[in-house]
Amino acid sequence: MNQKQYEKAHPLVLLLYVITMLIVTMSTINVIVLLCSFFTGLLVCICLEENKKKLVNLISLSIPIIVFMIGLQPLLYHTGSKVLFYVNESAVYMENYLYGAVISLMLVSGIIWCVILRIMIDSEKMFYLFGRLSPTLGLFFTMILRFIPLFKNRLKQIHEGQLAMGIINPSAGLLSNMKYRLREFSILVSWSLESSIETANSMESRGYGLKGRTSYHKFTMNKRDKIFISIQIMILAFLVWELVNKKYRVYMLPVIIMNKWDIFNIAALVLFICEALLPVIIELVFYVKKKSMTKKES
Amino acid sequence: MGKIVEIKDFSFSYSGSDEFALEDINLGIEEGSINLLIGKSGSGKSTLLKCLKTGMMPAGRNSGKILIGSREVGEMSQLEATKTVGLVTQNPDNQIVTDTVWHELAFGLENLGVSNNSIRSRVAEMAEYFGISDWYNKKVTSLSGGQKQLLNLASVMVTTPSILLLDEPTAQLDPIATKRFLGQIAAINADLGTTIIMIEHNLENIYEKVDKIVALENGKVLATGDKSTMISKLRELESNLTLGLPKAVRVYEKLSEKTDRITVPQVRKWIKEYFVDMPTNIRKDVENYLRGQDPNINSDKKISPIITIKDVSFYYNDNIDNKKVLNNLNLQINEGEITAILGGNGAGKSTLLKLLTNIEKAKSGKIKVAKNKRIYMLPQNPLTVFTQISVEEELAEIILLRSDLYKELDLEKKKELVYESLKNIGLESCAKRHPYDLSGGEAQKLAIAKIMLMKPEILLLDEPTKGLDPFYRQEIGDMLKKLVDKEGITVVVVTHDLEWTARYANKCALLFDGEVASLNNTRDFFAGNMFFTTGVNRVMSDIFNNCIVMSDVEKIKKLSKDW
Repeated sequence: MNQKQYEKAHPLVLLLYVITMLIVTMSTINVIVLLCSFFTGLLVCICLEENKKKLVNLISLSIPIIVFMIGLQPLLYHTGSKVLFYVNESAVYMENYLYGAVISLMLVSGIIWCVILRIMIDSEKMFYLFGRLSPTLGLFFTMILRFIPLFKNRLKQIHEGQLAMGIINPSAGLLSNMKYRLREFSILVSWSLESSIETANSMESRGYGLKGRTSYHKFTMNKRDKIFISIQIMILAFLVWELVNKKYRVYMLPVIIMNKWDIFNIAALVLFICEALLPVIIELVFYVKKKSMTKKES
Repeated sequence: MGKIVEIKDFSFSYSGSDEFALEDINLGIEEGSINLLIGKSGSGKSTLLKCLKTGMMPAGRNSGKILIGSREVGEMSQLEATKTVGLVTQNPDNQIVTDTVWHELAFGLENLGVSNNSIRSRVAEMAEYFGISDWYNKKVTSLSGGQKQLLNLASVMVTTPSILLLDEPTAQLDPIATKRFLGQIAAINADLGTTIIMIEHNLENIYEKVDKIVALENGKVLATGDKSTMISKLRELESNLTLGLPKAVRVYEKLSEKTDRITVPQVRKWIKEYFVDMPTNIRKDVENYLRGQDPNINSDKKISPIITIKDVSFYYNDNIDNKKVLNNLNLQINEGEITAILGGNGAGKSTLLKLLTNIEKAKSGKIKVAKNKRIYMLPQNPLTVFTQISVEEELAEIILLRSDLYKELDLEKKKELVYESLKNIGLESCAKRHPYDLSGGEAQKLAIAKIMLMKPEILLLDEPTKGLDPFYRQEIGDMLKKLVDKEGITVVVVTHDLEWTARYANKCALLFDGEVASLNNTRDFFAGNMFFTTGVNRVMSDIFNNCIVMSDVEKIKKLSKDW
């Protein structure tokens, strides 16, 4: 996959970025903040995700969530100020629907940021972040990533082998098919156990088990990464301070009350948007630079 | 040069066994040399190799001494052992631990506790030296077998061991990858002076670089010698280990009864200058005689097609650019013959077999198989076939599973059948053993016996000789020949093994670029090729036409006595 500019940054930068976004998104029901988070997230997602099919999947997944959350709220809460209609003589309030809408917006934004997390932090970066915590855990993780495709491939080989040997009848019923699948699985287990002896030997002969194992990674922290991290930490601190002081507090039920916004609120929100859009901005700057370079050449 | 490895009166027996796996081994290995261990399977080659590495020694009792440098193997710490002795084994997949190439390279250094920056520079250096920088960032699953094995070699060499042990490292590789790998081994030895001790069956590519050859038999050293004296020593001992030696050496020894020339150019020059001192018409007679003796060309067996493949095209659905694996392929396979399908990696050989067994469906074209013929394929890896806990149960399973084929038989008869087929493959003594404890060749024979119990009329084999030593290759070939002659089954073999094909196949088809590039009876097929051919033909090609296997050389030798 083609990496975007921002994805080339140090994994810690990326992790800090997504964590900031998730913290802010998940800890407020202020509709303005959430809308900002939602739209910036969507924009970043579009910018990063190359497979547009996955974006369509994401959207088609979020619509049922929104509908469900909005429909569910009036069943749970029976307070509000503006009555919309009566069902069996109990009132259904507008605030319930609005509350449902805000909660679903929060959920969908959260999902989007998680998708971005998955795109930005691939297994290699994950391994690095895990490896920092504990080298054993990191190795464990990378070995899982090694063996899952290997076993899948082996299972395919076994299945094709059984088919070709005429042991499995492809038109057999579900029950006998299950029997064959179990049989294939048992072959896989014995084969893999047998081969794992060799893997263990290979590990031992290359010195696995010696004391003081280190965890190698390819990432280097350059000046840009350090600047990013310090800025991001400052922004995160500012945002957390705002949130802890309940500056963005909103009451939804029974009546909607929003805190008065001051200059700090606006400043924090602007900073939040700026940071959220960082991948898009960097990509754009890079694109413009590249364009002017090629122009100069021609 | 000093001796880097010294083995003194070393004996070893596996726990639970009274027999010696190794007996009174006395051996010295010079520093910086390339050493070859040859022997049949079960002769103790692998056991000896494992005993040279601390921690790898199998469970059992031993006596005598093995010294590496001046240290005894058993007394070395793991750290010392890792730094002095590296080991690469047969199966490329089983030795890989991590999911990416760069991490696999770093694995050994991580274990030694090397700092991040030092690992970075060492890994970069290794990747450059082994030519793997192009796929440095790739996942290991996307590599070919040859690349994986090269990666295994590089990730062992990264800790700069002074001794490199190789246990049949090219057994699972195709010929081109084999050449590349063995070339790399020779380069390591030449560039770094690493001492190399290897077990290897593909000697054609490494033999001229070898300093010392050790032949083992039944756990004892049969003979040691250098590359030019080995063949005569083995001949004196009447050992058939000569079978594994390179073709050029064997051809020269056969024709001249001397051993001082070992490479293809040397032998060719000798034949041209000294041997073919005869009028052209006699030589033509010899060539025609060789062709005339071939039963493939001059049989009056009636030939009828059993499989007809017409204009078949195929591509895999998950392939992005829909590149055709097979492109308008036409092929006819005759009843009662062994047809070999040859071709490089990705030529579509295995895909063709999948189409024949209905695992995949052709996108266009027709495959016609004669009516009601049972057509079965044996997968490449025999381990994918075994499900039971003993060899006899493996065979019994098929008889129980396919009750439609064995309706009339009572239990006693069925038991007899199992033992009869065990006897046929010479595994009666292993009836109670676990199939996984068989050697590669034995496992392959068992797998063939198993599929034969399903009474196939057309048998498809995917590289049946992969990873086997020359003796088992011969045995598998003889076994198939017997089946074809006796029971009249049709065999289609996909293989890289040209020597084997030349000896046993009736017809050869070369698959290239999704189609059959050439199809002919075996002798004409190989005689017409210059590069893609057997070792014997490469030596003899433009001197003697039609000479493709060792038995042809023997015939020439006999004839040469007359003129």
